[in-house]
Amino acid sequence: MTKLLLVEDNENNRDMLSRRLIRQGFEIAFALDGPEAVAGAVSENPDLILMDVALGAMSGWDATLAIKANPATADIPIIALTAHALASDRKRSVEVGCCDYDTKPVDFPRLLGKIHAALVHAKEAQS
Amino acid sequence: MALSNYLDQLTRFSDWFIPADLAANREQREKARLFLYSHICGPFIGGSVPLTIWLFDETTDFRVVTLFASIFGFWIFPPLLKMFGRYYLLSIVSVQNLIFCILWSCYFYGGLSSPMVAWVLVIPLLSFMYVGSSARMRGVLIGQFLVNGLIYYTLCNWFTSPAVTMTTGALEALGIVSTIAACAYVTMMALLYATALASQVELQSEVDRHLATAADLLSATEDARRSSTAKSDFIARMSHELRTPLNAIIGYSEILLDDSEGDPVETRDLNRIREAGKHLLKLVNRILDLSRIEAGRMEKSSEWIDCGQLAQGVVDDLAPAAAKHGDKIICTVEPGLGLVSTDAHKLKQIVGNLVENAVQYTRDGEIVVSVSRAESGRDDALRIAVRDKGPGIAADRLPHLLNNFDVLDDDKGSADSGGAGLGLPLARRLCELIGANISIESKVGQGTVASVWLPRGGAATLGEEGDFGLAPPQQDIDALASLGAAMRATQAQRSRVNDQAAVG
Repeated sequence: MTKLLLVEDNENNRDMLSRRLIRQGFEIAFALDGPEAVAGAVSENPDLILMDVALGAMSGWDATLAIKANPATADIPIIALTAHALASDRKRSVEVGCCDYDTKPVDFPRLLGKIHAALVHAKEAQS
Repeated sequence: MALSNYLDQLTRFSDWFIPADLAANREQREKARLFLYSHICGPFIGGSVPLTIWLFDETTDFRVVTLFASIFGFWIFPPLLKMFGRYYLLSIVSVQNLIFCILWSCYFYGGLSSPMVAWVLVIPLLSFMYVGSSARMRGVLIGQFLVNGLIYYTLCNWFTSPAVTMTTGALEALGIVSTIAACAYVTMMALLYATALASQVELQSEVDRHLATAADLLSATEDARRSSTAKSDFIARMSHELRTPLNAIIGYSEILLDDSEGDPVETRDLNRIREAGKHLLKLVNRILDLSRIEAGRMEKSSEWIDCGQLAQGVVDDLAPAAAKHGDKIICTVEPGLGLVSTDAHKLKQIVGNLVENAVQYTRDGEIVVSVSRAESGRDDALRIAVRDKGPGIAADRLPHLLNNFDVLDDDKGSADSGGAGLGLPLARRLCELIGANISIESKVGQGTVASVWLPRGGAATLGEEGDFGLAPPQQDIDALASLGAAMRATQAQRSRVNDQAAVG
């Protein structure tokens, strides 16, 4: 089963998104902040990470950088989720190594499309 | 009262002699006025001295005639000033004439004990008044005094002072007249100078008052600007806070819709919650965008896009909403338009707002979105027009539409207006941001045309005539190429890590 790590500090958003993703057949692991995300990337070994960038102590950007810096987790595709469709956010997500980018509130079908595309791409890169 | 009248008349008379270039500068004009006052009035006062000599001295000869001539010679100076300008040169010549008058009369009428010695004081007083603050001219004057003093001293040493032909009584009378005249003269000049100074001080304080007012205005403007930024900041923050619970409302209603067993009433109610949530989110987003623009924090990006595709995308997105009103949206794109460089996201928002607005006010009609080359004669590259056959907008409302947060006064409540009151002002501000022009034409009963013009160069560039379908410029290709190279390098690095992991 495909496993996603959902990094999100807001409980409602976490619950909502995870329920809808589980219904789509994904297995979901959670991280509530940046450090948990970095640790979760190692311990859960997810196929893909959904990263909210507006986290408390450690921003989603920093967590992404840390995950990408670790060879064991560097290959996990990461989709950044931000509140605004700002050009600077888009640029930053590419800089830190995210493979895609979406805005919140999520348009669920669109997000699903991005998740599938990223998974296919990651599989191709590995083989 | 009478005195000030005379003074005004004197001033008017003097001013007639002041050349235009001197009159233009306030300091020059004041100096020239004092110069003219003393030259016009001076001979009347100074003339009393040779007159007294002529009356009391039994021998009337060249001495008193020369004195008369040189004193009334001062009257030549005003016309000379009027004719030739050359103020400083005339001042030096005039001072020289004054020194000559005084030393001449002293020499012939009593030497160092002459009743005319008092007049010596007038020389520096007048001279320095004439030249004002010019350091060079002050130096020239001091040199002039020294040379004159030296010449006079030498002459007195070589030739003994001639015997005075006047009686002691006559000399006493001359002494009295001369002293009174000198006093009157100095008094007159001091009064005139004081008057000029007072008006100068008044002017200065007026200037100071204006400067203070300007400073007050500046700080008030600064305060207003700061408080406006603070307000926009607050709205931006609040809007952001509002989005989080809205996300939950929309998201959970969607989950419930997924779960619903197909009960039509439940589905309808859930749809209403979701639609109302989305509507509210749209309003909040618009407020957020407006406040971001006003706080100067709206970002701008630029990329090469196909405007036809963009318009088609907007039409596709809004077709379902239009269908609810029985409207049909048609998108027409002039072929061969090529690419433009602009902020695609903002342009999409702009066109989206215009189309939404058209949809809100059209029932069972047709909305045409057309992308075409701008009319020749306009300094723009491309026009995106949104035409509807809605009720139209009265001419007096049109100018306000893009500026104020208006909603047309129709029987539809604001709940159904889709935030149209925010849509057009937001579209206008977004256009300003990306350097596009926006206009709305409308006729009541006939419909409305809203147009966005993307300018040539700068924010948007279109291929030259005959070269439509132009590729992005070289630097963009280069940027893409280097981005591709960087991505390939990362990919290669990752593969190596994988290989190592596989080996290990």
